[in-house]
Amino acid sequence: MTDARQLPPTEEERMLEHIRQHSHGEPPASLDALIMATARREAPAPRPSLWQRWFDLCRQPRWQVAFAGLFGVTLLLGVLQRTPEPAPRQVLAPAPMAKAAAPQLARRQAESAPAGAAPAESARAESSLEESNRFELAATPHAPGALSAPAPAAPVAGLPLTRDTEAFAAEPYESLGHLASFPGKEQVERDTPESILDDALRDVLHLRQTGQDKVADQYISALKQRFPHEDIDARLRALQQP
Amino acid sequence: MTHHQKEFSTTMPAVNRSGPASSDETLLARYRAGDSAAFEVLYQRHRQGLYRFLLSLCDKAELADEVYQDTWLSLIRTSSAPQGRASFRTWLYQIARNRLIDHWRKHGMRNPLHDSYDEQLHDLADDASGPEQHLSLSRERRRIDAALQDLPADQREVFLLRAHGELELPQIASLTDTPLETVKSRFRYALKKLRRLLAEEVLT
Repeated sequence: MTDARQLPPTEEERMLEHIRQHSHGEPPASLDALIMATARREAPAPRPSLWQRWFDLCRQPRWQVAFAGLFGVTLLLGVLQRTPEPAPRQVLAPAPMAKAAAPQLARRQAESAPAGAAPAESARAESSLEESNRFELAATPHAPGALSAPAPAAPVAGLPLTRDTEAFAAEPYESLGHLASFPGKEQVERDTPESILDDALRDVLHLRQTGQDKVADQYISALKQRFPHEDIDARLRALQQP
Repeated sequence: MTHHQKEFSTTMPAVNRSGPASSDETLLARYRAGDSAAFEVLYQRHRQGLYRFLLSLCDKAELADEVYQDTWLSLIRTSSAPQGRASFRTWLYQIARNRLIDHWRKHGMRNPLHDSYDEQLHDLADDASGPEQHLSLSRERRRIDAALQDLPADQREVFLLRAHGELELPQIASLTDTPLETVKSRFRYALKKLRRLLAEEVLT
């Protein structure tokens, strides 16, 4: 195989080379400068990387507003999802029931206290009664006050139990240990499950006396689920006896 | 190398950075991607050949300057690129040629590149003007210029594209939209005439 470059130049190649060697003419320096300056000035901007474009996008005010708005909406949705729906009713509604149960609780505490200290203890119990009951009713669904959710619903009797009441009814009562960290725990510790049940049954009796039988029945159903080992009917009958 | 060539080369440090191996098409793509140094390499490669082609074709420095500038600015500002199998070199010279023809049309000048004539007749008519009339020229450069200007425009165009553009004959046929055989014929006659005009100097 013969390399073409090793062949002597043809007459055509010699002519072309001769013409190239003796040709003249250069573009003026001003023209070179003009063209190069134009080329540099109008060169397309290098395309930034993906991260650089994202960063630049985030620096634009309108996108900042958009991102902030999106974040705000997400935050709002998150807060709304976490807010319990019946919270206002749960806090405010049991108050009348607590007040209704106050004399009973004070009477019970007075009976259990020593005779000498009875007046002072009774007064202290009276003064702390409302606070402790409010605590029991509002702070935990395990407290007996929470069972009295139907009480404020008396004007609207017949409404179904709230979600919290249903949850309370579905979970069997085991201990009061989970209340240990709450304020007013001394009062709670004094209330045994039996006394809590009795208080609840007295509330049931009170509901029946005021003609709210349907709510009282729902209350008893919830107590039966809550205290599956207790004979609710027998206790209720015992409480009805003078 | 002239003083201006040396000066231009020293002002282009990017030439060494880009390396000689990059093809024209690669350099053009890099420029379009924002690498202005690639354009400097491309420009240095073709500035002299293109300018000499235009200068020899129109024989007017002012017109050559104008078309030369228009050609490069058009290349800078357009987003198009050589299509198909066309090389950058073919594309560049085609732009320059079209610009020159546009200029001739704009100024109402007859386009000598589109003249049709009898090749054989022209070859015979050339016998009347022998190389003797050029012997009085003192410099070889002027003799070559005169010989080139003595060629018919379409022969001169083919020869200049071959000499300064370093294009192959099929590329020239594609660029000028002329049958390959015609291009070969024009080149052959141009070569023959130039040989006659410059016989003594070239063959010695």
